[in-house]
Amino acid sequence: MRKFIFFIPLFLFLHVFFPCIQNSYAQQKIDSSFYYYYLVDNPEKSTDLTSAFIFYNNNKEYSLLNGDSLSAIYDLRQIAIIQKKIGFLNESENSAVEALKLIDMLKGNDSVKREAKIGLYNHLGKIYRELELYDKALEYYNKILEIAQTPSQITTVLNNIAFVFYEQKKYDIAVNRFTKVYENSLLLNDKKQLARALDNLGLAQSKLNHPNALSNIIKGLKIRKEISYTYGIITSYLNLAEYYKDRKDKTKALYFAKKALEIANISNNIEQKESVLSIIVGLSENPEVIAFKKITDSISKAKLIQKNHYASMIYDLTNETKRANENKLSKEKEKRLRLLYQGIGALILLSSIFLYVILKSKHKKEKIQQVYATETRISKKVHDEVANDIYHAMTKLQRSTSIKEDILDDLERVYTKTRDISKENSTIDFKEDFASTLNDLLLSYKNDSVTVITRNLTKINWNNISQLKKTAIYRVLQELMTNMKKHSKANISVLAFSKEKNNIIINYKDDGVGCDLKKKSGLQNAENRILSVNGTIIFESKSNSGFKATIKI
Amino acid sequence: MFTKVLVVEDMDDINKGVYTTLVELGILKIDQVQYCDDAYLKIKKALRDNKPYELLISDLSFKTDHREQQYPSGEDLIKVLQTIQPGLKVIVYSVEDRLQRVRTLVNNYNINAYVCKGRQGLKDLSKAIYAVSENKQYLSANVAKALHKKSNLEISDYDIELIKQLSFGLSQEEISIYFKEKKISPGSVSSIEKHLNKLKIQFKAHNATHLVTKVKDLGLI
Repeated sequence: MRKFIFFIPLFLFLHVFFPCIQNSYAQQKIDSSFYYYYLVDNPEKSTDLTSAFIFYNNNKEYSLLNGDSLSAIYDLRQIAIIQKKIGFLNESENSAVEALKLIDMLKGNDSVKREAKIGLYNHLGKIYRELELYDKALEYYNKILEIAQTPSQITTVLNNIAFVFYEQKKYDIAVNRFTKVYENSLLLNDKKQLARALDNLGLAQSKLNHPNALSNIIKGLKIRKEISYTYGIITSYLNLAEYYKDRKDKTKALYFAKKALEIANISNNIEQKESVLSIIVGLSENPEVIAFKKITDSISKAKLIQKNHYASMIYDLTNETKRANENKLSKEKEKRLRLLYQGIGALILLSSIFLYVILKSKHKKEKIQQVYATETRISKKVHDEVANDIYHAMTKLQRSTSIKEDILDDLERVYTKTRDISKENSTIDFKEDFASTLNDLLLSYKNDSVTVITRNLTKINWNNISQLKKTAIYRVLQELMTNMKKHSKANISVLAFSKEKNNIIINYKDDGVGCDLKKKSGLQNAENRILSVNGTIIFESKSNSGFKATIKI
Repeated sequence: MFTKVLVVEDMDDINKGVYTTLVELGILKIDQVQYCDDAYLKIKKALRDNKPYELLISDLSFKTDHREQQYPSGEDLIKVLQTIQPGLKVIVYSVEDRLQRVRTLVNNYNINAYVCKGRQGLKDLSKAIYAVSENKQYLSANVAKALHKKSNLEISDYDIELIKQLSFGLSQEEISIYFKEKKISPGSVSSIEKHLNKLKIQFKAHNATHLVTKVKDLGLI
């Protein structure tokens, strides 16, 4: 037996489309749109729904061709409604699913999308209820609850959910839910909704023999009469008929059913008429009629159920495929990102290796250059100081017949010089106390004409100074003293040592003629040595006022 | 004079010179070896035969060759002799003239003489042998300052303080009083005068004023 249930009236989103259609063709289209919209709502002739279907189907194809998916969605919704009315439930489901797919692909305008989705979900819920797939129906209604925003929408959905329980004959839950819907409707100040809530609540209560059942249904009927809501009045009468039928009062039941038929005849809505007549036939006592109705009902239901799964499965399947594609895409993206990071990492690694190699080779070059410089220095010294003297001695020997004392003197001088060169470049003995090593070095520069004086040399603790720094100090002092001896004509040179924090300060000063500080190679050498151990050396000199150097290491 | 001498020297020419010198000195038994290890064995053998050497003349550095040596340098040999024959007289005959080495050898191993090779080397060597035979120490002239007291170049705090007070215009007598007050010794006028004279020579100064100027110029005060 058919139930009369109030569904959400189709959300009118015609208004969404109208503003954007402005040409004359569109004007024509709007007119026919109104016409067909009315036709779908109130079909009178058997051809009405078919012609509406053809109109909307053509319209849909046209919209899709023009890429206007919004109007295609609307067309599909109308098609779904028509198909449901004709009884092609799975085709209707198909159309609704197609519309949902189009919505999923649509970009922007969330509110329009939401409205369309709610309508379609509701439609699907309705179809599943007719197919008695209550879980699926509930699933779609819950989907609506997730996105619904107005209280009126929410109340309507809650009402539909309550009806799912009613249809499953879970009357306790249904009464509970309807009570809530009723309470919500009181807040809404919408008489149509309030009447619907009362009517439905009464119907559910009647199944539980609740004392308020009849009065609630009648209250609902009264409100509907007040607002002259024909469709609602018919429903109320039918529910009264149902109430009395349940209580085996066939006379009263038939009375209310006929009242419903009367109104349906006036409105001349075939659909309603069919529903009412079906109930009247159900009240018939003729056993053949009853049997016939039972058979036709069950046959149509079985057919519908068989057809059903297909469409829904297709939708699920396409959704799965879509998700799989999305996964694939994100994986692809991840892969590309990983590749990018790996590339960057490799680049950093390569460039650092490159840099390392360059720096190393540069360092090596510097080292080699240093070795070359040293070699050049020594060879120059050997040439200037030794070779010349030997040549001098040789020429003397050529001239004289016998070895004379002065040639021996010359040779001794050469011998001493070679020893000095060797000493200058020999390793420094760090096994001994560094202060006395330095003292010996300085002592070697002392003679009758030059006095060398140190200050606080022995008071410095040399043990904590690295060998590199000691070498630098030794060589630099050697350089300074050699310079002093060669060029300065100094009588006294003083080396004052002191400690400042972690640094050792050495002040060198002599009373010689000084020099212009155009960095002689010797001084340059000294500076390089000090810089190489992160020290500083400052030279100060004016001619005739001595030479001064401050080393900080 | 010594009668039994061992010479360790790897250069043949020098060996010849040393030999001649030793012969001139009238030494009868002269043994010459070119490796420290050989010297070590000879000394040990002589000890065992109860005919020990009286003098060792040794170089310090030896050219390394295919023979692996237990005692590669003269220093190593001298070191080990301290234990096997402490009484043996040692003369080092080397080109090395670093004072530090000389000082170390004299102070640590009690060598009796250090002779530098050079033009005067052989003359010095015979002088050294004479000196050592008379239980005296001998150092060649150019390394003699190794053990000299004057070889310390350091100017003392006392001297600095003395010149400082002088620069303030104090007379020697006033400095003496000041030193005695501060308990700086020596504080007597005579020792202050002695120190001042020494400083004047050191800094090549003609008088006290000149000394102060020079020391100031050199940044010591």
